[in-house]
Amino acid sequence: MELHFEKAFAQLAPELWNGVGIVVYITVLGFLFSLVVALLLAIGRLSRSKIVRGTLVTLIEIVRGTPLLVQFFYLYYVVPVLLSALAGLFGAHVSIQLEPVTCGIIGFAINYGAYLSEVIRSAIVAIDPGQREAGLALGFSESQVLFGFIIPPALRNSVPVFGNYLVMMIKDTSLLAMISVQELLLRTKAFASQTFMTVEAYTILAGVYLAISLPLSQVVKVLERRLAKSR
Amino acid sequence: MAMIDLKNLSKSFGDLEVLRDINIQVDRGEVVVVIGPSGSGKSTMLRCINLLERPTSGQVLFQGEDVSALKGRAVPLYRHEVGMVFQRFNLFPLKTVLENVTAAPIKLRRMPRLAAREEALELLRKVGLESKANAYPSTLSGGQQQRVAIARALAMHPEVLLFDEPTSALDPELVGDVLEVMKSLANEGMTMVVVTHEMGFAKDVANRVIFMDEGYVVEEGTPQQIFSNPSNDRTRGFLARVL
Repeated sequence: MELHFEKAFAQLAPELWNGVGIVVYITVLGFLFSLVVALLLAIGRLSRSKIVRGTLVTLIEIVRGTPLLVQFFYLYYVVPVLLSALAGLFGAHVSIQLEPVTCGIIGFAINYGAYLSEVIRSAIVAIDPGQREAGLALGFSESQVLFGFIIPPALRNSVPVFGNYLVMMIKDTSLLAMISVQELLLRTKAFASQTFMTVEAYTILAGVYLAISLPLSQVVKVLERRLAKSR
Repeated sequence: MAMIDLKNLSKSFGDLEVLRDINIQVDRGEVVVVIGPSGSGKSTMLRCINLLERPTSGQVLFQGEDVSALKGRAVPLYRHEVGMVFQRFNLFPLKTVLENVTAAPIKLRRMPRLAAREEALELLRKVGLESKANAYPSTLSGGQQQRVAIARALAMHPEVLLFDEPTSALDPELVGDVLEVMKSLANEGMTMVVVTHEMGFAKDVANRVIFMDEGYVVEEGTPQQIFSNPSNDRTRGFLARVL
């Protein structure tokens, strides 16, 4: 077997470089939105209303109980049909379509939002109840205490876990190849089938993922140690 | 009119009766020290005063007004007047010492930042920690943290300060500094209700000592009466064990 890594790399690298741009774009937006979703879910689950809590738990379980890939397919193929049908009910005959990249961002926001909400919730629960009492005793209201003295340290304590999920999300962008997002895997696949440099192409692809995620994991570890020290 | 007037106060957690028909009055400028074995309801009584616990029955009068029925936004407003110092300090770990002290006046009393800062530094000087203004709580000793907690409570200019075993979580050598600060507050005329096991403090500083056991006020009187000539067997038994 003859391998041509140099040649493969020279041709594939520019392709992958463009793919990295898309991956970063989707990950940054997807992660930010997932944090917002997670925070809203976590706060909602502190609600006194049993109905609110029950609804949120059900939603979270549905999201966590189905594969991310299936959710991407659902957003890409099913949701536009449902939305079009819904618009039809109101007399608007339109054909709604969602961009694959948009589906990716929304899918990540929902899926990671569900998982991260559990992270934030347990971090909130883990904050010493004395913090709440101290805030209340000073004359802060329950919501001022929550947003002023409970959520900030809870989020801060969650940062290392957030970091791990961020690295996971970057790798999960490869699933988006299945709904035709021009990310790294899809570009590599196209390249491999055109040039027959299969071994080279996928090895380089794996290397690129490692080159992104290993340093990032190290950053997370350093962050974790710093946070633990200054508490 | 009494500053605080607890009338027939009872508190149960489920089947557990923690406070039974408590009647306590605290006048302006008075230092009342509450002693008793653990589980006697001292802390719960204190927490009923600032409504961290809601009484099951009875009234909490503050300057003549029944606060035990307060709802909604009236509760935090009432708490502006009643400061509390906790056994475990409960400083905000992500804020500096100074920020711990200024947070409430800035946010709740709408005090300008600079003025709040000036006043906080003044309070920190009073508790001997001006030099730690920019330190984080985790870098301070327990005794220092507790003194910051006292300054934090004072920053709201409360009418009365509640102390919930303020020295119980401290190493013995750190207790003195905290008691010193409390003593000077008492000398300045601060109204204080202090739950403590520091009998020396009770003898020296209290105007009145209350002995609680099993949810009842068993005996109350001047430190002289309680420590030298307790009338109740249970008080005698307790004092024999702790003194």
